[in-house]
Amino acid sequence: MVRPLQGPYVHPRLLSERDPHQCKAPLQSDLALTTLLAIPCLVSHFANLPPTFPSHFLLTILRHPSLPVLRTLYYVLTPRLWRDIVTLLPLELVCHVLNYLPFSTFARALCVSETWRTIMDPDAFLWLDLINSTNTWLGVDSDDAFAHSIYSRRRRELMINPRPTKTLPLTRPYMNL
Amino acid sequence: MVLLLTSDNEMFSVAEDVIKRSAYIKNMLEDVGESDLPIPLPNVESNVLVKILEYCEHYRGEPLPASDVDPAEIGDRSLDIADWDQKYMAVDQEMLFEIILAANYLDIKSLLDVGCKTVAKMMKGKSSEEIRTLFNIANDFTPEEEAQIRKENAWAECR
Repeated sequence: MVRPLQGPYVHPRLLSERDPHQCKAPLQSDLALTTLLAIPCLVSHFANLPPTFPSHFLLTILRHPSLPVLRTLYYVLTPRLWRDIVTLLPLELVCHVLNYLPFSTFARALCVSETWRTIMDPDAFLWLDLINSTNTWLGVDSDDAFAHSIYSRRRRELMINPRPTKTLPLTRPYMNL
Repeated sequence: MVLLLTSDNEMFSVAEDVIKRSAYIKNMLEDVGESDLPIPLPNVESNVLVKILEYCEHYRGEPLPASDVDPAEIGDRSLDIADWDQKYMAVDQEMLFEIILAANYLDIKSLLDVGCKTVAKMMKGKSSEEIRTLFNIANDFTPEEEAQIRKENAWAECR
């Protein structure tokens, strides 16, 4: 059972007139303690509520807190609603989204995470469309030239800095060369 | 009126000219004809359907998009979104995600476009780090890998 929050009601003005050590402290600690002790009980009640009640219960509680409390709640809740949309959406919808990105954002999106890169890289249509839209597609020769320039740059860097670093596969249009 | 049954077993009764914005339902009604049986939507929850219907209701009376649009034509890259659509899309990411999925499932092309544009617009002009924060993504590159990718994509930054 949830015990009602204890302590007889004492008007604040009366409280301040009395000796603070005799009255104020016991009342406050009692209130805080009973609330604390009631929390596990409340939580178990909450877990056993029928399906539609939790949201009603939470909304009722949320009518009361002050602005700072609400603000804290906001900062706790908002990240829980963040979704890694690119990873979670089906591939064709991801392409639909990425199709709207300007070139520079697309390039930055490639650097976001390994997962994003593995989704975005192998999509030949996405790349061809991007390349076409920016008029940088000059045909197969330009493909080769670009791949060779990257490979030669990697080789050059290896000569300058012989410490072997793990190299990544090239992005899609140049991957099969 | 058309009856719709959502995944959480809620029944919706919707005017036919409202829900016909969904090509999926429109085709189904044309194929099956008038029926008193509800159309089950096992992929759509009631709170998402409410939001979808809000969209259909707003564009009620507007001509439906032609069904024979060339699918290869994806030349429109502009991120312009109508004012009402922007307000409509001012929801949390979870809902935005659900709207895009439902619009795809129900085949409401204009809503799908707006949803995808909204996501693209959220990403536009942001750095990789900002995109990570935006979608709560862990950076799983090693520092060397990241430096290399950054270097190889640097040419795109100048455009």
